[in-house]
Order: sequence, then C-alpha cells, then structure tokens
Amino acid sequence: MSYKAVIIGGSAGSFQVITKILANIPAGFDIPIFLCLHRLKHVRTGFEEALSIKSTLPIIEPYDKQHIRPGKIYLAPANYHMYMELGNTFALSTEPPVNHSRPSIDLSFFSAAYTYKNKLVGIILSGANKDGALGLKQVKLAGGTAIVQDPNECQVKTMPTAAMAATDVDYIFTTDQIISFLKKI
Amino acid sequence: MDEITNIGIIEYRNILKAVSETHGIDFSHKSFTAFVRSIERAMALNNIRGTESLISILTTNKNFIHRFISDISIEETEMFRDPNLWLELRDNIIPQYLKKGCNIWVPEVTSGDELITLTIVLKELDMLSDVRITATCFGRNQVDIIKEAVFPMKKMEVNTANFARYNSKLNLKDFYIEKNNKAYFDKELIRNVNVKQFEFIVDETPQNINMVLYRNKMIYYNKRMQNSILNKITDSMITGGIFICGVKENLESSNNEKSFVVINESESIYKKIS
Repeated sequence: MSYKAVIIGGSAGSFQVITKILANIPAGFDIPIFLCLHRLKHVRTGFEEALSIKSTLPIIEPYDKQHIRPGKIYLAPANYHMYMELGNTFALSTEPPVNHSRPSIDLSFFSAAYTYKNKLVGIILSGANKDGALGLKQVKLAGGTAIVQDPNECQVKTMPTAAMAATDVDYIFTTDQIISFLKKI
Repeated sequence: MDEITNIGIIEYRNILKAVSETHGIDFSHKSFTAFVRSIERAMALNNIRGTESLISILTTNKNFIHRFISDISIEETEMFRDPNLWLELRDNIIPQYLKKGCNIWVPEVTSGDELITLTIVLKELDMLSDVRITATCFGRNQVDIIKEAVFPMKKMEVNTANFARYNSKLNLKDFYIEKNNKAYFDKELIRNVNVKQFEFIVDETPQNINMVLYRNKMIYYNKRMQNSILNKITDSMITGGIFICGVKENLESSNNEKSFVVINESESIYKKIS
C-alpha cells in the first residue's frame, strides 16, 4: 500500500504524544501529515512553534488555497476548519463549530477521506470528546487505514473509545507502535 | 451531527446547473467542501431529503431561492474576532489613514458581526459620523438581517471575551439590550450605513474607497474567483487605501499582489500602492 497522506486528530492529553511522533518521523518522509488538534481559538500563535521544537519536519499553519507539499506537516489554524481538497490545496472555513470545535477533527478527516480515499492513514489520539469518531469512520469507509491510540495509554480515552465505537478500526496502537507504523509506510 | 458531506460531485453539479438555469446564478466558483456543507445545512434547515427534492424545489418554487441563498450563507463567527486586529485599527490604522469623509466598504456581509464591530471601533474614535460605510450582501433577505442588528445571546459570551481583549474604555453591554435571549444592538450604530444587495460578478463596484474590510469571505471561492474579486476590489480603492482580509487569507500569488504592500502581516492589513 502506498499512502498519499496521514491525518492525525487529537485533543486533551495529545500534545506530548504528537510531540513524540513528530520527533521520530524520518527526515525523508515524503507524504504530507495533517494535524487537526483542538486548541484555544483566540490564541493564534505559539502552538506551531511549540510543536516545531522537536519536529524533524517543518510545521506549517496553511493559508487558504495554499498548495499541499510532500514531507511537510500542516497544522489546522486556530478558529478555522481545515479542508484538504482535490487539486492538492487547502481550503479553510469559518463555518460554525462542529462538536464544539473549530477546527473540527471530523470535518478535516472527512475532507481528507474524500480526497485521498484508500491512500490515507487516519489516527485518533487522546481526547475528551467524540470529535473525530465520524471522521475516522469515513476514512475507513473510503478504504483508508484507521488507527486509534490505545485507550489504556491515553490521558483521556474518550476520543479513541468513541472512534472505536463508531468504526471497526484497523489498529489500536501505543505511541511507539504508531511511530513504527509511520516509519514503515 | 450524523452526516457530513454526502453530496457527491455529480449531484453537486446538478444542483449548480439547476440554480444557474432557473435563476441565472452561478455558484461554480465556490470552494467545494464548504459549499457542499452549506447546501447540506440549507437542506437540513428546510427538511429537504435528497438532492433530487432540493433540485425540484429550486426549479419549481420561484421564491425558495431567496431563502436558499440566506440559508447557504455562512455567518460571521463573532464580534471582535482577532482582537489584535481591531486594536491595531483603532490605535494606528484608522487614525493614520482615514479622514473625515472617507469611504469604507464591507463586502459580503452575512450576519453583521464584523460590521457592528467596525462601527463600535469608529464610535470609540468618535469617527462614526465622519465616514461613509457601504455594506453589501449577496442575498435579498440579508439586507433586512443586517439592518435588524439582532444577534443570539449565545454569541455574546465569545463577543464579550473578545471585547475584553480589545482593551476598550467602553463597555460592550452599553451597545445592546438583552431581550428574549437575543442581543438587540443599538441601531444608531448602523444608521448611516448604506446596506445594499451586491453581486461581484454582475454589479458595478463602489468607487473611491479608502478602506475595504473583507475578512474570511474569499476562502469560500476558488482561486480564479478570488482573483476576479480582488481585481474589482483593487479597482474600487484609491491609491493609499487600506485592504484587510482574514488572518489566513493573503494576496500572495494573486494577480493583485503587486498593487499592495503589507503593512501588518499578522493581521493581513495591506495598503494599495498602485
């Protein structure tokens, strides 16, 4: 299977997991990684910088209609929903929050599933609400690979548990297993 | 939320074709994902199941289109969104660039949050009666919505938090009355605002504009339409005029990039130079 993109959703308790994953992505990783993480909507700066400290690849908060490039990590900006559209571009939106969230993990996952279909890996990490459950289900329905962080390892297990209830996930992985998986694709 | 984006590309094209052929309105320049979601939202609001039913209503009920346009429009998220922008406008940009008799254009107003915010900033600067504001909107129903200046109380929590970050001497509560779970804003704020229907594709743009406030609206168009809108906005502005777009929108790689210089990158504030 040759994947074309990875999308990761996380909320409460996911920051350290994400940081560890980003620190261990091989330098030559040649597909884009999309991060949709719940964040304070009025704090626009600092998050990208905090994630960049240990990341092996550059982290970018995309502008609307910015081109998606391989080997880059894209973080959904504060107070916008982030879509990945056909034609390899981002589209941002200020539609109402979904699951009380803007950016909403469900919406980002849904658009990524539509665009990348079976060439997508979707990963849901620790979090305190059910955002991402329907999104991961859509990844699976589109033929992509659905992964959740092992709830036993999660600081807050609501999000991966909700995703597991919504769809038959392919893998339940610890952070280290997620890293090993990403290194092999 | 149970369903997201179930309309496929063929159904999407059929809806666009029906609207175009029946009403002469071209939506083909919309940004795909957000517009699909807008259509789905309009269908849910009107209890329409299935795109065939939607097309049938759109083509047989002549008046439904106005409601449809209103329902697909995306509300502005909040007042004083990005408080630093409004601070910058109040403390630097407006005092430096806007003089008595200046013209401000706020295109594609939907719910009016940005317009009310602008008027409060101008009021604080004691300039509200010195400038001419034109607010344009796409739909007929929106003209009335904007003139009503009524907002759901549930929005006031975030509006108030934003306002606090804007560091004003004023109190946001002095600008509205709470009644029936709604915030009725002082209509005095928009008394002199010229609110009118306007379509970028067909209508003549206002002229001699000193400042254009156009935030988070371009994101709903494809790149080609963004360029054509920016051409019209550029033509409407005087040299030295100020253009403000959303913090995640920019003029980079647009046809009009060379007509502007950035004067505040983080808040997406530009000055027209030619």
